[in-house]
Amino acid sequence: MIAFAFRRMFGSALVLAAVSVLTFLIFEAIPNGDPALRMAGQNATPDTIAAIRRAWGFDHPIWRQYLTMMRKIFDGSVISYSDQANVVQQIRRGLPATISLAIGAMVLLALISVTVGTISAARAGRVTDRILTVGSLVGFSTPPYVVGALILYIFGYSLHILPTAGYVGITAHPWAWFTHLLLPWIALAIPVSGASARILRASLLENIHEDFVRTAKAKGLSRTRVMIRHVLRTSLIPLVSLWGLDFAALLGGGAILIETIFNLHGVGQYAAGSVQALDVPPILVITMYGAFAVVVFSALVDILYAVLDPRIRLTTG
Amino acid sequence: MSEVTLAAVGDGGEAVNGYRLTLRRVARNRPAVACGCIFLIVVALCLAAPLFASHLAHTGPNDEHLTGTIGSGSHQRYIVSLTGIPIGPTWHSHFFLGADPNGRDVFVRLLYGGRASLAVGFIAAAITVVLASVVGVCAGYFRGWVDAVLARLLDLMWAYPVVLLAIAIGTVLAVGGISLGPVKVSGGSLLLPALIIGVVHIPYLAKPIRGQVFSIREREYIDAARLLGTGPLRIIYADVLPNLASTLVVFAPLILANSILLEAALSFLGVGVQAPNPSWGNMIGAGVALISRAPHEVLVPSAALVACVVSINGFGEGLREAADPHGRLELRAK
Amino acid sequence: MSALLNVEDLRVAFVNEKDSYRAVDGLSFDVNPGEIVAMVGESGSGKSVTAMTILGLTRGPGVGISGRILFDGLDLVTAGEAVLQRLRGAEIAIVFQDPLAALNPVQRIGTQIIEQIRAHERISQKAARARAVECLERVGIPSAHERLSAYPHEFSGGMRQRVMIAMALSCSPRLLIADEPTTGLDVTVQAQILAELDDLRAEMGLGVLLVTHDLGVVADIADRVVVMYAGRAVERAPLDAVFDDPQHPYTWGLLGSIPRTDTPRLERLATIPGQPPLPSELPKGCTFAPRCPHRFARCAEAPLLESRLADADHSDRCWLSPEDKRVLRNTGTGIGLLGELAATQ
Repeated sequence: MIAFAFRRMFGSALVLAAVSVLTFLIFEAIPNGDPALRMAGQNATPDTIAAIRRAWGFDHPIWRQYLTMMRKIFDGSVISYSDQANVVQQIRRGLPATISLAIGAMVLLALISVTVGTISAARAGRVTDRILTVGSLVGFSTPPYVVGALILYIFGYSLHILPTAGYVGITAHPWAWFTHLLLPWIALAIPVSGASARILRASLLENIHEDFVRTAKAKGLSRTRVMIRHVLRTSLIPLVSLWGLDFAALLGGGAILIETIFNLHGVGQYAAGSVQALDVPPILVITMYGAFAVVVFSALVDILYAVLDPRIRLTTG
Repeated sequence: MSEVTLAAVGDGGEAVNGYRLTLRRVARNRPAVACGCIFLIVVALCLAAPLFASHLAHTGPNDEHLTGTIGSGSHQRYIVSLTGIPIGPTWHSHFFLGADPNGRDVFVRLLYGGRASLAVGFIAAAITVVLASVVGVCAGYFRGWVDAVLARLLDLMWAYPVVLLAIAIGTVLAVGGISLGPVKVSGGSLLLPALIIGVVHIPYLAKPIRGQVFSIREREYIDAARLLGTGPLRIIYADVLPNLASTLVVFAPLILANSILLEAALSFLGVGVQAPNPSWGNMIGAGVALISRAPHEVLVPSAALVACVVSINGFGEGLREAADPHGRLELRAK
Repeated sequence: MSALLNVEDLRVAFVNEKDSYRAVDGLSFDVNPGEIVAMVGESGSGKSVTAMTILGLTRGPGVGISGRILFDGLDLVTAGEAVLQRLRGAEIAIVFQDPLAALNPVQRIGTQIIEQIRAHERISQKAARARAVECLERVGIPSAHERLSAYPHEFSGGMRQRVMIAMALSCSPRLLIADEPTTGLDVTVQAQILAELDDLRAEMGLGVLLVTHDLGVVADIADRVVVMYAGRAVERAPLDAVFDDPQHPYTWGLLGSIPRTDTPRLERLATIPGQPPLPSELPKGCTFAPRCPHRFARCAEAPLLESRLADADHSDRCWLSPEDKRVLRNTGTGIGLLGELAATQ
């Protein structure tokens, strides 16, 4: 088990290195013109451009540029030339919102998918199942920002039940934190739960016919116990690893659009703003961090999977 | 975030129906066919955009009527009110679904926007299918170091959240476009987002294809053909590709749906289809600011987008049921 | 001594819009405490369905069950689900084929055994754990205490089957149903498992219903044999009687098809020609007649299961007279299907 974990983490380290190289290549090596110009953003003076060229080492060989970039990112000294703000500091300021958003959305996602998936499977083929199936289909076909805009309109502006924008820190005011995040959580959870619920349903229906479920019944366990402790538990395992990856994607800025609609000022919104202003340095750093998050979580999720399903430990990481 | 991306597991080859049988079976699945028809209607409507614009609405997608009025006599109103609020749906041929803050006809923009969104979606999906097939087949067939390199590259791309990667590349290319030797794509063209979206989705299709090719390659008739001295290209063409056809048939709608969704997301942020050209995504993005006072700005393009994607996915579900009724090809979301 | 289990005219049919598959079509037999009854037959003869129906595991929409299964005076066919749940694992236990698939792959075996114990008895986790260790030791698993935290895939095939047996016996049931418990295991391991079963039977006074297709297994430990064909018992007898004086042509076929070391090698292995009938197309009259080389006019009428010999315990379902049978079944050096009837058809 420990050996498996180490192997996996080591593999991840390699991927992280590769990710940093690829990100570097995207931002500084695409044949598209002058990277300094791009990085300077709009309204840049020739002086700024020259300064950028020096600071990032664009005159140097490409491997040195890479090292310079890595150093700047990990030093926390990347500066956006559009607004002179320190990128890493801005990111840190937006993290609490983004993390709150991600965690809450995942919890809600788990609850919805398990409920919908289990009910669907239990009533497979009947009306309830069909309705839920169509619902899931519509769910995962609707982008989160559409759901967000819709519920924002209904609950925020029409009914005035929930606040329409902004983020409040949990330590400052727990209830406000909750009400401000509720709509964004729902907006993010619904589309992903559509897909998750379908997968869980398929997994449950498959596992119900497995031999070990028959054994569980033959042991004299109640139907509920058989369903939950045997069928559901085994069916959830693949889902848990998916959820881990979804969480990583959320953290890495996948919730960009939701943060924008709800004005949460998280990392995602920072990315969105930078995109609109074509401000490259923040996007560079966020992309790097986003990919890192996914790689790390990917490894964690694999390890978690191995904890839950011991058969996996026999294969290499 | 509503990305349903794919990992095919197991040997789908024998258990999955050939594509002709699949298509016949789908034809019998009425809800799936209904979804397919809805999608075709949407496409047809969007293609007919110029007709509608010139004959019914008498306005183009970018024609602004900021100071104009509509109606006559006591019902006369400003198209865009003095406080900047555009009118809602009139349900008449002019401004059928209302106007936007610049006085442009929403329905006309919706149709033209649909053309853009669908065009980008289809082109991107085509790029994904072609490139992913090439990569997947090469990796799966030639194995060895070719596979080692390609598989690592795919894993690498897989590490990036799709939206983020698309944004990153989109931002980099937004101003200058890209020039790869003889191929030059300018910053404002539709091909750019299509290219980005197409490339970004490659790992999601290439990995399942690679897996399938692995198992197809194990089969005896491939060995027989190789022993006979048939060249790899011929084997791939004659033996491998037909078996992949049913897999592609199943995955294609999902790729198309995701491409359209990603285009909308990118346009929402301003990195996809650039203003003033309409696309469903940028219309939604622009509408969010007005959501309290002119909700139709957001609701109309959203409804169109959702209807379009739901119908594609609905049809896709039907296809998947027909091709793979026992669930051998597992669709896993990422 | 009254029977532990009493199956009377059991019929199990799977019905859908088009056909009705009669998997079990009028089966009757008993199991007494402390004895091993072997149910033998080809795949599709209805043996596994019978085993599962006893525990009510085949119940569901589209399944028609009739007849009686008496356990301790209680009719299991009509008993409610709650009653069956109490019996399962506690009074009647079952061991399945393929323990790798039959055990939950992601749970430690200790957890699985304890779960069964605590489902039926109010004892503490600790006490249940101790009992689980005892159960494992009883079936001969070394280092039982450590092995409790192992997963099913960490055992070898034979050990896994022992785990299943241990689990099944953890609540000291009175009847054990073993559905092909040794199929797929090495021959030596098979012998060990069967020996264990026999010992446990003696130790605990268990009644065992052993479902198998392997006559070798039967010969090892069975006390009585029920030969099944197409959902019915075609012969029912004590072990020795079946091997020394088999009465039904199907039994002859089964016995004759056992490879022997003392026949000349060049002979082809004897087989029973043809295929068993589909459960949806059972022939009228004797179900074995289409494959039976000795069929005659009377076989158009379905034979009854009755004893035509002096020994009331030995019944069979064949119209041939015992004398004719004795002539027909001997083929040179052994028992088989080909023989010549001096009398006419």
